[in-house]
Amino acid sequence: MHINTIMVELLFNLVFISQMILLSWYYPRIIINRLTKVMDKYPPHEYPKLYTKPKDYYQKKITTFADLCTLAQIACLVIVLISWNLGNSPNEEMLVLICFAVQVLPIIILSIMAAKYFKKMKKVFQSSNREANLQPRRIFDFISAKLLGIAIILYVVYLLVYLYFNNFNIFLDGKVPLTLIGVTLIQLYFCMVFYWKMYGRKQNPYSVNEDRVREIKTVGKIAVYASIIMSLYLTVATIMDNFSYLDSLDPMMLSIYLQMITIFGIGAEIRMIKIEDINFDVYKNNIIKDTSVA
Amino acid sequence: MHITIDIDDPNPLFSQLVEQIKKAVDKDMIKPGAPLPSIRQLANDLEINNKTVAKAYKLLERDNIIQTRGYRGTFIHPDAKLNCTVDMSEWVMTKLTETISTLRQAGVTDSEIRIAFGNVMSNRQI
Repeated sequence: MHINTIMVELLFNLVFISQMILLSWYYPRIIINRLTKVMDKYPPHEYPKLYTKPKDYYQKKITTFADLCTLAQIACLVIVLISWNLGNSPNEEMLVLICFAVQVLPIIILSIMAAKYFKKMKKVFQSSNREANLQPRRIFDFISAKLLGIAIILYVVYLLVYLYFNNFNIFLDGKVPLTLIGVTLIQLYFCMVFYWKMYGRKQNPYSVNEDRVREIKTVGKIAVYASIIMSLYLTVATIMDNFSYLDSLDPMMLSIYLQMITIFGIGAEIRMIKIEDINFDVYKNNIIKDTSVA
Repeated sequence: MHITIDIDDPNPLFSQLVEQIKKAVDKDMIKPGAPLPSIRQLANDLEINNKTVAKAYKLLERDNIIQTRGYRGTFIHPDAKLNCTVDMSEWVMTKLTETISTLRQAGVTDSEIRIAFGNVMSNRQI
């Protein structure tokens, strides 16, 4: 069976353009609109605790983020043009990976800025009162058992498929144990992120329990989705690796995988944590809560 | 159900925790058999040391307000409400007052009592 090369190229180009649009235009635009909406709807004079620095500072940061996204877009176009001019057959898989790395860079920088913002917020937090819920948090309060089961089954399926194509010989060459350990470590990382979110110290000192529960649910779901998508992709990629006529589909599969990770990562967070649902009253001055025992 | 502690309060944090949980049980805000958060969860939520929460839980367990069921976690004791009324500090004060009064009646001086008390307290095997 031979796959039409032109058709594959066309499909790859379409998928790659969709990656460009999704990561350099669609999600950055949503993030910028979201941040601007928060600042417009909850101004510093009404919600002083939301701002650790003057409003202008955050507006500048949003502009910087927008500029970085535009720069990333231009950088990707330059990389694509260079790869076209380099040789007869540019490494499309590498191209997808490099562009993805460039595209997510502004989002990573934004995450670092967010972490710094919460750190500063914690420093400014003046209340000597500390509040906690006496309800224990359990894993299945946040993740459905079915979804977790699917993630575990798909991980085991991947391990079996990978070992099957390596004749169940773990020590066939150094690559097999390294791959298995690497994949397992990434899966453990997903577990750690969720565990840290569930039992770790809260980032935002003002957030109420309902908001925290929503955040934990979101992180839990994202971690499980990421695990499922990764296992699925690796299983398909392992199978495809053993059928050389499918090699030409690899770059397209990689791009689809990265886009799925984005949709079920950043996308899920935006969908699940809606601004309207967040309790912003905690950022006002002199909030009196009467839910505690004291 | 929320609890609040004040880190600037002169009362030790563990004793605030004990009091809050006892109050919650006494006011029926938390029922017997209800699960409690793990030490790590509560310590991280209140941003205090794990050892402080562990100390509070230990005291509550001693007073039969809570009970630990191995890996399943910590739960409110079935007789917690009844046991909330027992004030261990008050009981210790009563016992000590009685003992000191008996010793004084027997002619033992206060300094002798203090030295003996110090010796007994420093002997951890008792």
